[in-house]
Amino acid sequence: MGGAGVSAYTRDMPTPEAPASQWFDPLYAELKRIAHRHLEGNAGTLQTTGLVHEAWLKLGRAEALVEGEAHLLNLASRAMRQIVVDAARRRAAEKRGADVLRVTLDERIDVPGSGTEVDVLAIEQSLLRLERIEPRLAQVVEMHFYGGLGFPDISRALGVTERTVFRDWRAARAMILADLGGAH
Amino acid sequence: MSPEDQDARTRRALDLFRESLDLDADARAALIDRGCGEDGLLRAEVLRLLALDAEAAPIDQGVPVPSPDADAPDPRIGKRIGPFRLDAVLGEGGMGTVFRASRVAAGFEQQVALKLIRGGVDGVAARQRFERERAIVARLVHPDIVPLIDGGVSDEGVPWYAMPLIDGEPVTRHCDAQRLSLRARVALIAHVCEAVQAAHQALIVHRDLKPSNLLVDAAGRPHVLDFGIAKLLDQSDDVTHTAAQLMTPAYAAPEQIRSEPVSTATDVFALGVILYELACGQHPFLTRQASPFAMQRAVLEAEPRRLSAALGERTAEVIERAHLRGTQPARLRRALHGDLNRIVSKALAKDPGERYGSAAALGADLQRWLQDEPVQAAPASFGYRARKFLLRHRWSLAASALVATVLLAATAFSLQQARTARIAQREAEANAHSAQSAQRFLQQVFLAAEPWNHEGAMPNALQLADRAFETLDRDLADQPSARADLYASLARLYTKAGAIARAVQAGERAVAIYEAEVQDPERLFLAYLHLADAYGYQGDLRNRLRWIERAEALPGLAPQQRFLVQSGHAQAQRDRGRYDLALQRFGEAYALGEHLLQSTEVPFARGNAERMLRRHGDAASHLLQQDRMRVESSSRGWRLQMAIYRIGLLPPEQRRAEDLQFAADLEAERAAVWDDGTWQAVHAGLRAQLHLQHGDLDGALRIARALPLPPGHPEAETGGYDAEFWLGLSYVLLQGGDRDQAARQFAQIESALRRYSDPLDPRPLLARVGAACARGQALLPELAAALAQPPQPDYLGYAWLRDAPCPELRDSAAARHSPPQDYAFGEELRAALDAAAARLGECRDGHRVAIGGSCARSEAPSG
Repeated sequence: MGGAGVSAYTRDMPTPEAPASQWFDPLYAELKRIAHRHLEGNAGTLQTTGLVHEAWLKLGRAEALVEGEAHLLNLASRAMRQIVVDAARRRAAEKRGADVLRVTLDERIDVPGSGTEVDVLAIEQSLLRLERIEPRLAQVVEMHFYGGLGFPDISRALGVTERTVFRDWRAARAMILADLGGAH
Repeated sequence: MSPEDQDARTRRALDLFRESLDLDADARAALIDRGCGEDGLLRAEVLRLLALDAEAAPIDQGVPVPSPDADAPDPRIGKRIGPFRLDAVLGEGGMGTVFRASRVAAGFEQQVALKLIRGGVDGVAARQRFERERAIVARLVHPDIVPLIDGGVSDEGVPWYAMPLIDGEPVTRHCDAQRLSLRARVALIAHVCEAVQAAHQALIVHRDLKPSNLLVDAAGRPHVLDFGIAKLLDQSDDVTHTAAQLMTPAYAAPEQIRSEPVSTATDVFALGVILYELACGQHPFLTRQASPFAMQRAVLEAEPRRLSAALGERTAEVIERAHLRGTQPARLRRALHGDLNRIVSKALAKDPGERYGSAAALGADLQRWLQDEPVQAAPASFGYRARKFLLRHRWSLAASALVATVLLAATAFSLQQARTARIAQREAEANAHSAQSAQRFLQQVFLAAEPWNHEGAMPNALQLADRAFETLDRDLADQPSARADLYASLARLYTKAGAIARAVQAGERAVAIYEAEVQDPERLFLAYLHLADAYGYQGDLRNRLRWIERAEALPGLAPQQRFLVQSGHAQAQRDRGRYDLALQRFGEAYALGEHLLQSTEVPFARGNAERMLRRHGDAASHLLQQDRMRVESSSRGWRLQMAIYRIGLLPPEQRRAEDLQFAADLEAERAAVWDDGTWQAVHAGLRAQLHLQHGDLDGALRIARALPLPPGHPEAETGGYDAEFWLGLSYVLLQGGDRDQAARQFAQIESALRRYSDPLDPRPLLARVGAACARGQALLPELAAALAQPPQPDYLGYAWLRDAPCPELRDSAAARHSPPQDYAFGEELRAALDAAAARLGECRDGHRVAIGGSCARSEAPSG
């Protein structure tokens, strides 16, 4: 797979609505594999930087098209979401207490735990609903919340203005909070 | 209520929510009413969304990641790796896990740190390469470099290496924990440079220098870890290892990000980043969004801010950082300005060829900085480039302040006009209406891009100004008065921001509209003066004079307006080198000075006049007064500038050596606060003069050497007012023996003056003679003849000539004619200064203005 280049995966420009297309699954699986390795190696901190960098390199950065970058960001975010939700489900099944750690975006930024936790599974329910109502809003959440991407990157990836992304984020965020029963 | 209905309603609610985000409270309520109609559930949902939007929530802090089994120990503990046994996990790094391990040999107690690299090395060839590289790295011996004790590839193909256990913490944490001063931090890095240099000499590049690889022990000694490991791993073909390097893009050099070959300059870059952080507490490239691509782009393209600017804007943050360096914010900012910034810039140059070639070179410059010697790092071409960076910094700080200023400027004057009884009622209404249109228009432009609370990013106000500039004709087509006022305000805004070409454009448009469509001589007058100002900044002295003359020619000017234009005219003449005409104008302005406006221009003009008339006592008191007014207008840069002048005004016997240092400190602080390259020459010149008057040529020389005139320096900033001071600095260099540099500078000054000055300007002659002297040439006959003439009596800059190394200059009529000191004062001045200061303190009522030390009621109209 390595060396084939992102272009091999993005030539047809599939849409996120058709996730089961042929090229998507192997790439997605690759990302998940990389992410898992990061997860294991880094004592609970998921380095978004490292994840996407590594995937980027693995897939032949030099050949990437501009659209390729956007899709890769998209996919990386989705992979992160999948992994986090899966892990949360496993935990819930094991009935362990929430022993969550914070995501750090690089080893120097320490976001101290505030003591409050985010209910990943509840968010996931809300996100699934959001996907039904307005898919782009869910994408924004995925890329910003799970992918840790900033609005400029998201706007480029989705082909809309930053202002739109920001509005979308606020709307999606408010809806999720409403579903969660208000901020707590 | 089916789920489909529920979803449909939520969809509608989200749409309404988003639409309402840009509206004010009233418009929002109206929108919700229209959109929801009778649907109470929909309304409730929208309102709920809006309420939650305003609240903070844990979701804003990022996604939580499930931790691995915290209880189960690492399965690798107890394993044998080489001659060691893994005892405990010490930590996780980007490249793998670090264990504490002990040697498994009878009677041999040795504890080491053993690192298992993530990924694997497959194949015999790869292993051999790995071993070869390891052997090279193992030969690296230096007291501050942590040696490789052992290493290899395990049976499963996992590369590992062992090194002595170091009890220390990353250099960043150490410096903060110990509250090390800025100098101590710099000394530490200089020390590290020596260690890195040893490796560079063995042709080993570290490639992954970062704080966690620079540990400092309790004794304060640095230890460099992981030297050459990155290269070791590169030998393996697994691309994950290359990725491992990039996992800390925070310290990667541009060539590393682009996967180009690395060199010793790559390590210099990393050291530069660390130095930057230790100096000001901020990472040079860490962006707010911190997405991997944003970070990469920042390293590749963005220029880091000046250290003093990066220190921070929020007071609490700055105080904290200063505290961690054992000092006060103001002192820290001062210390961060100047040479240290140049060193860091050179280390962080994007092109490796422009950085220090080796760690030793960086270390050497740091040592020079520590000893207050001039550094090798040449200053980046200041002036325009400095303005560019300042521009970015200023705008992010002051965007909202500027909005207020523009609104205020555009409306206050018009509203004031409307209030004055002199204007007929209808005109007053028209003016008020136009002012309100202006206000509304500005609100549209500026408030449409309000700072985004969550991202905290300030809009680029210069772009907003541009947008206003472009749409003004269209949006206020039927309001010539408002349009003209706004163009005038934009012109001032652009001038302040340094976008001079735009300022001139806007100023010209304002003037055109005022002349054609608005019958208001007062505003037209000010527009002329501001346009003249803008041309002045462009260095276009001829156009500057032209617009001043237009202003002068307006009929029915009030005395205070005539005063303003006279002193503006005087300054323009002085900058052209026509000191005789300038003196004349200053004299005329001075004679007019009975009615004073509450403006800071007037005392400055009067002070200038006094100085030229050699009535130093009065000059001092006026400058003091202006100082006070500038303080009240809270313009710190001006206050510092005036303080520097004031030191120059002290009589020599009252000046102490400490004053010179104080002047230097003030200058550094002023430049940090008000970083306008054009004044640097003036202040350097003044300070050098102070040193010379103290008999301290070395000090003056240091100052002159620290501010060389760059070859590409804009002529607009070399000629004009600054030329006198550039000349002075060049003469100091000549005195100090830097003949080549002096010759070059003289030539440049002369060329700049040729463009802008008047035939009667004495300065080009001095430049030509200086150049000849520097080159050791005999003076051309005509130059000698010119020197023999009596000099322009009003030009005060001949003082430089007295100690010139060429006899023709020293003995020339000019040198002999000049007053020995520009700022020679006696006891009576001292008394005048003290008295004026005391009386200024008494004048608190806003209507009273101190004139030459006495309080009097101003005749100017209020408002």
